[in-house]
Amino acid sequence: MKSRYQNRIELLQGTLDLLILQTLQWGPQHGYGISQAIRANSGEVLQVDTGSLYPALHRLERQKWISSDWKVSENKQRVKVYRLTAAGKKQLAAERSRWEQMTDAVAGILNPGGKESKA
Amino acid sequence: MKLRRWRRAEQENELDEEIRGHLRMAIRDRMERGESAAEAAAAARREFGNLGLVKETTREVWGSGLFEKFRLDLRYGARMLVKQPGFTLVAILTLALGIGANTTIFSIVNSVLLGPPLAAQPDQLFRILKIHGNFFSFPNYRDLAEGTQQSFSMLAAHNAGHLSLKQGESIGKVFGEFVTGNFFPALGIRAAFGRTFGTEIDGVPGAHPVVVLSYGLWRRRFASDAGLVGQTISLNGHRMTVIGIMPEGFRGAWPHGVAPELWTPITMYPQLQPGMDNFSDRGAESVNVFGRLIPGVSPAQAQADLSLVARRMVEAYPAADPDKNRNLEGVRLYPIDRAPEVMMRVLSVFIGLVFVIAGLVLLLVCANVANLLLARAVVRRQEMAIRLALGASRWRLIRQLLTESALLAIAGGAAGCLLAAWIIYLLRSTQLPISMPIEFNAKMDVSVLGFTLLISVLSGVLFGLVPARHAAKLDLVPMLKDDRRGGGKRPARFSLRNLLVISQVAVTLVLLITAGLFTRSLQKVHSFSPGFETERVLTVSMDLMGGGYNDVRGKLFYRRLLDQFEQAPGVNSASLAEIIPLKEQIPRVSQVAIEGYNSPGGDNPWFFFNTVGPRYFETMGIPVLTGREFNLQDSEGAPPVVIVSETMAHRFWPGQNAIGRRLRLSERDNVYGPLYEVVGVVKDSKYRSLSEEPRSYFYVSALQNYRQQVSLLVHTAGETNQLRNAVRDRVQALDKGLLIEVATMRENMALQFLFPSIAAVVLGLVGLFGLSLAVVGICGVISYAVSQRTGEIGLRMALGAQSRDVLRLIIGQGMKLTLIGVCLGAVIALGLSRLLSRLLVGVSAADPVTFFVVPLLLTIVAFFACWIPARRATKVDPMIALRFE
Repeated sequence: MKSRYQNRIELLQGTLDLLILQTLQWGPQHGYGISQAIRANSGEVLQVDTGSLYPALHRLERQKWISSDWKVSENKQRVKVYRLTAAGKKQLAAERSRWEQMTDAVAGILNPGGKESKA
Repeated sequence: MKLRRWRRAEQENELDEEIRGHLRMAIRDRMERGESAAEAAAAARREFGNLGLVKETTREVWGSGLFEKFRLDLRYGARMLVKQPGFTLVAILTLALGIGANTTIFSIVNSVLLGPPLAAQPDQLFRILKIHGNFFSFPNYRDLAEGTQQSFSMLAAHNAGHLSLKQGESIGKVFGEFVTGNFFPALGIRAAFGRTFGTEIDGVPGAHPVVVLSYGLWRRRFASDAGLVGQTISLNGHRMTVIGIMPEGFRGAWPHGVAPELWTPITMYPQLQPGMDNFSDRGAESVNVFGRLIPGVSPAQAQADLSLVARRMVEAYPAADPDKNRNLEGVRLYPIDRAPEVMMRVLSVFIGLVFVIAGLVLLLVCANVANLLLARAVVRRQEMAIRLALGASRWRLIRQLLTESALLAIAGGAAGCLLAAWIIYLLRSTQLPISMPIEFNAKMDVSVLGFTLLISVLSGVLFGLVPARHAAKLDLVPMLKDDRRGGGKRPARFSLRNLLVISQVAVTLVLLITAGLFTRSLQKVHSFSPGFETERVLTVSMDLMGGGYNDVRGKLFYRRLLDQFEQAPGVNSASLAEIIPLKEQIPRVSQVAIEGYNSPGGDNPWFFFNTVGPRYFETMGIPVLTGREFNLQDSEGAPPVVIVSETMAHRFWPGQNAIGRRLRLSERDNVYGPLYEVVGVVKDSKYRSLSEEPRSYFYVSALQNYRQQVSLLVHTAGETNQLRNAVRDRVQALDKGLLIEVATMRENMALQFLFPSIAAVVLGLVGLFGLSLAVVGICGVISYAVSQRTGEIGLRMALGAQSRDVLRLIIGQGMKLTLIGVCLGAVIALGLSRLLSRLLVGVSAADPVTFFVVPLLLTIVAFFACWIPARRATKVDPMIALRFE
């Protein structure tokens, strides 16, 4: 049982927001769908803890970066679907560039030679 | 509010539905991958994690959660309190007593000491005082009023005094005021029924025989008779028309609860108080003055104005003595509710003392409730641990505990308010046995309720912090393992609980010792000889002025009175005295210039003195040491004579014969009368209070110094009480219309017993209350210790310890705390009782009996408080106890 999760990585603090916003850019999605998409797109590496996902969704909604609607699914059941707002798109761009800056920086530290060659 | 709650419920439902949907989809996905329905459901739930935690953390995001959480805490807390009614009841009752006591005292202080008189815009009202003394002569008042018209819209004067009110056959004493016409307009208060009077009365003396009654007098004496307005009543033998009744709470211009019972024009003074010229004598200082500032005039401006006028008056009327002028020049302005009054300084000390006691009680109460909560915190460890495990933050737990404490405190405060309201109700119907009526106009008003809320919350935080701190240090793992010994460590020797118990014992001991001292004092007071006969003397107080006598007729009356009792059956001797010793009375003082004696300070000393008739010392049973006492020949025309006390003779003529020495008296500043010759020295006795030190005192002859208010003293041969009516009849045979009061010497001394009685009873009750709290505290701590050490005790017993050894072990622990507390308390009590020594009669502040018996009793009681849980410890079955390890 434990081995199944061995190669999964706990999400870095703050990156969850970015991943949710990015996932929603491909279209409206419900909570379960978002967690599945993150998992699938990360090659089963990133595991989203529901205890973080739902608070994050509700927080993002409060900040007006995403909005929610109740839709009826193909099985005739009500599901809450989140979509990206205009403000959310801007936020996503900002977070993305921040993230890229950070990965560059981290990569530079881990790989000083590579940085030099880039410059 | 309702909308919000509804929205919150909807949000809650949506979250549930969202999570259900999540699980449903997860299960479906897994089943599509080939898992069985049961497997899929279990896996999905497991993968989802802690449902409650997810919801809780999501809810936190919803924000405005602070209020929401508070509401939940409140509901949860209330449920916890209801679930343990015993604990809750004890805690609330304890708090109610502590808070109720403080609220009562605050409401009295609030109304008696801080409360402004009932008046329109009281902040514009100012009392005018001099450096020494509160009184102005009427001419001086008039000059001040005329000279300061640009500052004061009205400057009013009032003069208080006792009057006899006659109703049918019964005559009673009332405390009334003679007031100027602008008195009522300056205060700006209208009559509740009828009307008041205005400046129309400031004219011809005697032209307006009208009177306005206080609400209290109207209720007490006239049974709230609605038809009284317009009728006449008899005051000092004069018919006066009642024109109005003032509303309840109206006290004239008096601060601090002094409550006059009626008001009559100052121009009626010559009729009602004949023989006293108060209108033209610039030296006769008799009126109090207050005024209303013109809006926009600052107190500083008014003060400057007043000082200027006063200075001009000093120049215009160069009186014989410079002191009085200096005094007048120092005229000052005081806000009407803050004027310094000598009596109030005494009262403040007393109230301060009561406040200290009440504060101690509240501390005791807090300590105790904290202790109860701690004991409960131990029981609730598992509950707390579970909540922690379920995802509650530590801060959340602390907040929960504080909310519960606050709930307790508020409930205690509410109960305390009810208690205070009841005590105030009782107090309002009480009249202190003093001649000046004091109204406890204590009310539960906004400031009182605010105060109660404040101390409730303060005490809630105070006793709530203790268990909250405790919860903050909870260690999760051992508690979840159902370890009832908690952390498993032995508690520190001086843990918080122990310190609480020690301080409880100490405070209780302080209270009990002071109560003990006052009780001893009370015992002594009853057997204490004040130096004169207290059992077989009857006193008849009379007011000749109220009876319409002038001094010529008065002097005659006194002679006839003495004649009447000279040969009366059952009477050993009879005499007159202006002052009855140890009765609460305005004393008479005089400056004394002794021939051949130069006072070291320059100013001649002031002494209290009495004016007494022939055979006074025989009647009072005070031994004459040398010389003689007054006789019928010491009357007008004969050389003035004086008798001095032992202490005074010793002070001025040590080792010499005092007889034949001469002195002069001055009842007004530095204006001396004729030479008096000392004819006798008498033994010291108590004059003003039983606890006073022997003091210099002297007596002058009543036949040489006429007084309007005197008492007849009758030393009876037989049973004193049986002669009461005979004595009354004999006096009334001379004048039926005279207001007289017959009393035994003991009754006159009632006030002397009042303070120690009140102090002993109040402190005793408070002490017993503290004692019961301390017992509960000790019992709790020891029970807790026993539960902590069950394993250890079991082990000891398994290894052969007898129950006696276990008892000694457990009781020893409790007694150690008790003894530390007792020592601490004894030291504090010793320091405190030194401050109280002036109030104690015949008992030293370090009374060995009290300081031995009270700690001993407390220790014995504490011993039993330890013994009960300790006995339970001996019942521990070693097998069961050890199995817990």
